[in-house]
Amino acid sequence: MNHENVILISGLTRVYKMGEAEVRALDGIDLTVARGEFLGLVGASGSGKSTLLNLIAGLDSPTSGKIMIDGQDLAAMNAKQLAIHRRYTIGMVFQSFNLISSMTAFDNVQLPLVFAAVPQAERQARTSTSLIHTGLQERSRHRPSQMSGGEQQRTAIARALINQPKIFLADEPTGNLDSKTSIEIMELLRAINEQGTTTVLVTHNLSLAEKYCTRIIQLSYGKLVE
Amino acid sequence: MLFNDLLKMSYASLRRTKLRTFLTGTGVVVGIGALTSMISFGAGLQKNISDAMKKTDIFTSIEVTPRQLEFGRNRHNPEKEEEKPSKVITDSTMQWISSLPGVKMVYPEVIIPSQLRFGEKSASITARAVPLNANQYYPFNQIEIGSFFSSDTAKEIIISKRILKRLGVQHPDSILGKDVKLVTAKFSFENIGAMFGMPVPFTQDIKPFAEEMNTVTVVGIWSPPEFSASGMAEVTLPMGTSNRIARLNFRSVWDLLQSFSGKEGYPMVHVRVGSFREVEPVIKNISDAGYGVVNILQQIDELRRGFLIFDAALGAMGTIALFVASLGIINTMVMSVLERYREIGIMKALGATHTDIKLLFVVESSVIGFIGGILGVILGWIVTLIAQIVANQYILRQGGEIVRLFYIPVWLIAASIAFAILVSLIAGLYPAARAAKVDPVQALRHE
Repeated sequence: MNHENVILISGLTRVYKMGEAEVRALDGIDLTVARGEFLGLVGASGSGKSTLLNLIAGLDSPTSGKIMIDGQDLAAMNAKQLAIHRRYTIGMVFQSFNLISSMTAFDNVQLPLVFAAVPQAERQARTSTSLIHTGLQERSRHRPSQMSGGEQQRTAIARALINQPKIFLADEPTGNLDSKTSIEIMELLRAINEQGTTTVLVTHNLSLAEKYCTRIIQLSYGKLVE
Repeated sequence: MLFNDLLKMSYASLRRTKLRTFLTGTGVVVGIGALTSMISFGAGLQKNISDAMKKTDIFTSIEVTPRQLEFGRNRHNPEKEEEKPSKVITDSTMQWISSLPGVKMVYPEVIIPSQLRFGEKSASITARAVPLNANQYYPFNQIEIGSFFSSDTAKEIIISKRILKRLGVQHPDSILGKDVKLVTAKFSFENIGAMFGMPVPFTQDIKPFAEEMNTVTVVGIWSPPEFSASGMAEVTLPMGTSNRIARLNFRSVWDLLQSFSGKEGYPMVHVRVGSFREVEPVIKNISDAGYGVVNILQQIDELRRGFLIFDAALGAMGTIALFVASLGIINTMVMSVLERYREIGIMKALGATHTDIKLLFVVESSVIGFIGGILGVILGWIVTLIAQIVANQYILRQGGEIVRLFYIPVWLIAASIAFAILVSLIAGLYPAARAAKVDPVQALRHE
């Protein structure tokens, strides 16, 4: 087993049933991602990028095929093990930030530590450090509605990194941001990757991917395009 | 997840929807209020009766007879009643009973039909003999004026106020320390001899009985309770003194026949036990030895069952109210799952397990139950307070005495809150299961 390939995907297919019709969101994908790589997944809407990301995160299960993450077969994991995989191995950010609106930035960031039953003192210290790293120390008591789009995405990044995951998955992280803020976020992702975190970026913005990613692959109708 | 975090998140979630939480909680408050006030009414009734009973000696008194009494066992089929041989209660039987653990006092039933004379007035009475240590126990520790007997052989009596009235004594104090005549009937062997043809004074009527005049001093005055296991004690005298008074030593033809057959013994013995917890083993010991035993505990089981049914009926009414409230909780929590659909997806994406999600919702509904339970007990207490005031005003208008109708013991408070939590927790199980089943991919796409 090559542990240098932190993500190893073979023959991955995901078929959704829409009534009588079948939609092949992914169709026999083979993919490896090396440790520390910054991979860009590009493609048009509906090409299967987000589905691939959800499968790597263990949020969704494949119709067929295999996903090995850091030497672990996701198919062999039960629901609890998958939750723990998401908690410790994966950090994930989304286009729409997915912050909990009733919680402050601080509470949003510390949420994975709450599920990990980390004692409060340690939790506070780690959350504060994470907020400082993402430049949000002044915003810790603010709710998402009181923050800008860029600040919300940085909060989501701080939350995704709080458990120091091996793999960082970013699903259109700049999709809702202006170009200046997008660059700030991408710089942050680059810094994260440079610290050794394997990063997979899903974007439809090819130029952005070309600027920051070490490798780019394209998806079209659920298949990899060379 | 740490329990503290579960509580904090549940509380924060409930605060977000204050009005809905308030309305849902009100259902629990009303349900628990109804339950608490209704059960407290049952508990109050039970406490009033048992307190009144505990004040008397009926729980700790046992009457022992030579014959085993089969109360009610074969009442539906009297022909099958088995006649058990009767035992004789002697002094050694009394000594054996005295040695049983918990037994404080044993004395035979000695009652003397007699006449009490004071000046020109007289009253027919039944004098009762009690041992000297009876003054330590109810009802003989209730002497109102004067004191108990100075010794077991003192020529002293204690009289009830009722008998004093019959003797024309207006002020009970005035008779204290004075002598009265206790007139008893005895066999007259002279007269019996005359009946069989022996020489007698020719003017005398021939009767087998004669009077004996005993002078005794009144040392105590009281109002003996009408309901006591120790029997009516209008006139009481020391046991030793009673043995020196000549009297007809039988209460019924049965006693007389018994004495002729040579099976002489006490017709009945009173046993006093220290506490009612010790009564049952004493009863068992005496009963196993073949004697008849009478005690209220034998009847109390039926009373307990009656109270249990009464409490259950009252509790059922409160439970119905709580059941309706639980439907409100289910509705609220299902709404909460739908509203927080995306939030559940986010939590799952961040590593929350099914159990974490379930616990969040179950704890949330339990918090509603806990707070509703506490406020419900307070509401129940206020309701009982108001009902108590209204009821007592009515009772006072009717000329009655103030009674405590409701009683909220600590166990009822604890049980009501625990029940509120339990019902709310159960009500939260279905919404929690729904929340745990939320598909995170669908939820994250949800707007």
